[in-house]
Amino acid sequence: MSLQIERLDCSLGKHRVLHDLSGLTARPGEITALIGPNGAGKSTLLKAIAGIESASGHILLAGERLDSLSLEQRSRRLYYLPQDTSTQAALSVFEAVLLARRTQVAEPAATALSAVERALKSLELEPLAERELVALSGGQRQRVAIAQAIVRRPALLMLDEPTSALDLHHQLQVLDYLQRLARREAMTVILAIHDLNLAARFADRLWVIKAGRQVASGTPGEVLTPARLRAVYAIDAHVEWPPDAPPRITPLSALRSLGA
Amino acid sequence: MKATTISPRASAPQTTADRYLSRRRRQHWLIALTAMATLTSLLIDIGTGPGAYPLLDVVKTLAMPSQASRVLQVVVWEIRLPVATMAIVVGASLAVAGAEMQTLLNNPLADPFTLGISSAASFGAALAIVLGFGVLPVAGTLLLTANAFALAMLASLMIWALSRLKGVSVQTMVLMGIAIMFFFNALLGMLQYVASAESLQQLVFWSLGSLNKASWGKVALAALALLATMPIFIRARWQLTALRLGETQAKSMGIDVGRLRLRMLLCCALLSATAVAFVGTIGFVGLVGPHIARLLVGEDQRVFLPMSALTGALILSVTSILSKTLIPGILLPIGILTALIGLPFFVSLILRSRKENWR
Repeated sequence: MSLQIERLDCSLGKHRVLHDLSGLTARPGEITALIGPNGAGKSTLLKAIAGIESASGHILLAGERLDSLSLEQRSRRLYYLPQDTSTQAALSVFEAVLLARRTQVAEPAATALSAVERALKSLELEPLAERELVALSGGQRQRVAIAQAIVRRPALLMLDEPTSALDLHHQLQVLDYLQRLARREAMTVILAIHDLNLAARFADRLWVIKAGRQVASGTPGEVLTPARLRAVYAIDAHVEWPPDAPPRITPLSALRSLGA
Repeated sequence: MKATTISPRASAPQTTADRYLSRRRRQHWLIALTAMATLTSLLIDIGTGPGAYPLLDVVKTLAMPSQASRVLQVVVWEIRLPVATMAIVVGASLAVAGAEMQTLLNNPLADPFTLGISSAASFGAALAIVLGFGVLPVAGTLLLTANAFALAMLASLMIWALSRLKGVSVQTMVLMGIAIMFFFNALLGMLQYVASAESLQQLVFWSLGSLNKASWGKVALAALALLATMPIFIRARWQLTALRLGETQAKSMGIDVGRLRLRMLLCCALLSATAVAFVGTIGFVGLVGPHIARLLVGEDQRVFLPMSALTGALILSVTSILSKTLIPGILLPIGILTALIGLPFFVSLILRSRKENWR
């Protein structure tokens, strides 16, 4: 389902975080990476789409206005995976993933159990199925959170820094999985991500925001230019586009240094 | 994990769902065992007292009252059963209220006692005992109970009202509970200061907690509060479990966290106010019961909720037996015993929660 955003504004208390975001589109079967510096409003944008933060403007999913739906109605169509997934809940991995499924659909127990098994298998979490969440490492917890997201099979899946706690192997594995999942299920996937190399490699489209304002959107080739990286991140960077290979961004130096 | 040898006759390897189902079966067995232990404790509690009766006689009198002696009938059915049942109902109520308060406020130390509900009830009782003042238009023997209930409800509603304010964090709500506790303790202290020696003695006795004034009417009212709120908690079992994953993730699962917290806190308020009003201040059951349940079956509310109720009931029932048997011939106030048992547990929880860094 295609997502469109028009004239989106969001304030947290008296602080206006998102300013009139318009013309942002994410397509089914594709990965859209949301990039920008710290405090750009990436998490707030994803939360506003999910209905967790209240916002004004139009958010359309397959032509349907999400902003007129309740939190529960939205949760049947989309899922937002927050950046911080730490918890002290005394739940096993299997129970946690089952919980994510059960809060979405009423179905026979056997169907739910099979769905959980598939989700655990796809993220190689089977050996951890009985382990309690508190006993997991940050990276394992993050993979469980991704399993909780995919077990719901949302039309729109939004993940906030889903690879921040993962080692290199699992970063590539998870993003590759999400890419195949998006293609196979015609799922619209949006990732907020800091690693520009991973964004360039796995995303079909990028949204760039800075200080709550839209800076650019388009394919990685259109968006990731040294001039834009300079404007958005205040860095000098070398961008390389080798033929038949993912682009490589090498940060060279920060334009401003911290005071000594 | 130990490697398994594969033999030609070996059965198919267990899937994750199979392993989950056996975990569920274990949880159900634990619940059944705790229920049996609670029932046994209830029977022993009935048999224990100034005149001790063998368990068999108690069971016979309960099953076939007409065939028992008149004395046994009166002792079992009219004197001891209401008290023993009250221990079960109040223990379950306090533990369920504690379990849900800990879940809703995301704090392992939340319970009706630590959030000031018991202190408020004590102040209500003091108003009746010391000043003869009734908060509700009732008189006679119900004055004290009605006052305690009204003030406990007021304290709970203060926390509940605070949770309705936008932007109030759960930490603020817990701190507010602690402030309520100090506030009502100060008011109670003031009344104790001006009370006559006789009133003071009565007030101290009430605030130490006692099951002895239980009657079938009081048991029915306390049970009614439990029976009315349990289905509400059971219906919200998935939402309550999801809340333990954090507010954002729960919202992402479509749960209106604010509304859920309001509804459930109101139920907790009713449960704890009813329990405290009938038996006085009984601390730590609402704190310790849920923690034992959590250790035994985890926090999936489908099993956590009944297990909390049962552990709370079992703790108070066993304490009731101890209160009659620790010093022969003397009935110790039950609140003292629960505090003595609960205190070491409470300290260990504080130390553990520092390590685990509850968020």
